[in-house]
Amino acid sequence: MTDKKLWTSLSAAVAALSVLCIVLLIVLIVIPSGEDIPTNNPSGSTVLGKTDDMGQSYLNKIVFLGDSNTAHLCHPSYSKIEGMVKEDRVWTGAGSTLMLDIGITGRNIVYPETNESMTIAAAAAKKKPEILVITLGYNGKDLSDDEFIASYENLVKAIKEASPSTKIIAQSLFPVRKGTGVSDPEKTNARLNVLNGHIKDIAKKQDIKYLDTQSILKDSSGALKAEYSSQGGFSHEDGYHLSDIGLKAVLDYIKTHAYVD
Amino acid sequence: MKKLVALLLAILTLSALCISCGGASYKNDVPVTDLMKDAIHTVPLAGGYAGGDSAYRDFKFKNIADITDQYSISYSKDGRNINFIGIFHAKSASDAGAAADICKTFLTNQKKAFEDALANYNPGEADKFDSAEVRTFGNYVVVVILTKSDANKVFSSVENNLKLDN
Repeated sequence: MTDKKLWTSLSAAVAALSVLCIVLLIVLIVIPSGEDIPTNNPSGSTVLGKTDDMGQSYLNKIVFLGDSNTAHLCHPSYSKIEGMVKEDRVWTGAGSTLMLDIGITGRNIVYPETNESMTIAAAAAKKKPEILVITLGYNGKDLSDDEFIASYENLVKAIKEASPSTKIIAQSLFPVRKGTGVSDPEKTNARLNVLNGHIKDIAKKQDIKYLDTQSILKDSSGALKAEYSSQGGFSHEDGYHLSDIGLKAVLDYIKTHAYVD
Repeated sequence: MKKLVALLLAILTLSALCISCGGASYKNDVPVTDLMKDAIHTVPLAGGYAGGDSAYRDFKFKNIADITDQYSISYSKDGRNINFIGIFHAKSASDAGAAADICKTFLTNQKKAFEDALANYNPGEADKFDSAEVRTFGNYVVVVILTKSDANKVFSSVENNLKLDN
């Protein structure tokens, strides 16, 4: 091949490559690539935004504190979430429930690793969980707003004092639907929305995070989606306990709205 | 006639003295914490009792702080058990009456809270609201949510500690 022909071939190749680069650049810049999914939540933000799915390893870092819906996270009857939350990561009261009121900091939970009864603060001091998700207040929804706020705040303060390194997440209360335990879901959900507002305000004030899980649990009327509501078994379609599909939705939301620095 | 009038006057004076003393048959200087210590000793719980602080008092017994100068509150640490004892020392006899009314309101509210939140989990505890009671011993007001038998033990304990002949 003569020098001239070689030079011509090379030039053509370079030109073709350049055109290809320009086209690729156009594709990358101009055409939208979909939502940017961050892998951290900005430290200034109270509400946990969407993140990558942090997976089972993230769930393994969490201790879940709450009432019966929390207790069910590790119940053998809930097959769709089997293994996602271990028993020793669930803190609740004896009898698998926990009421929020002004006495909550004096009341005991069952520390699952040893079955000892101790206050929540004592458990926090003992375990020092990396992340603690609190889902409390449904049992306590009829308290006065003042007592609800004071009770929740006292609890958060007690945990922070006992374990300052724990990342605390205040999870929203879950919506309800009509059932054997809920006669007026509109009224109850309206009340729960007010309480969720208080929980979010407390989270901001106490510099902890708020997880707005209720946003994905409700239907267009604001009630708990039918498939997320316990359909029977020991919860007897009461309208406020979640099904295993519902609890899976909760855990998936937690994994995709992670508290990561 | 003179003797009759004198007797009537004596009775009236004695009655007036009794009223102004706010029930002179009870002491008025026993710390409520001492009363509570003895009271919970009669109704021990495996999980023990937690002590209610001033926030507890203020939220559960609205305005009672204005008319009492001492309080002691004990509630079961185990959420499955609704045992509760509250002992207040009122500033005066009339305040004791008002404090008793506040305690009765507390019982009504606690019963509703139980029915709303815990009745399905601890149905066996519901009967304690049938025997829940408020009693006054001079300037002392005692409110309990206990079984009938335990309530009697607590009231007896408090009364024995407050009787004037002790």
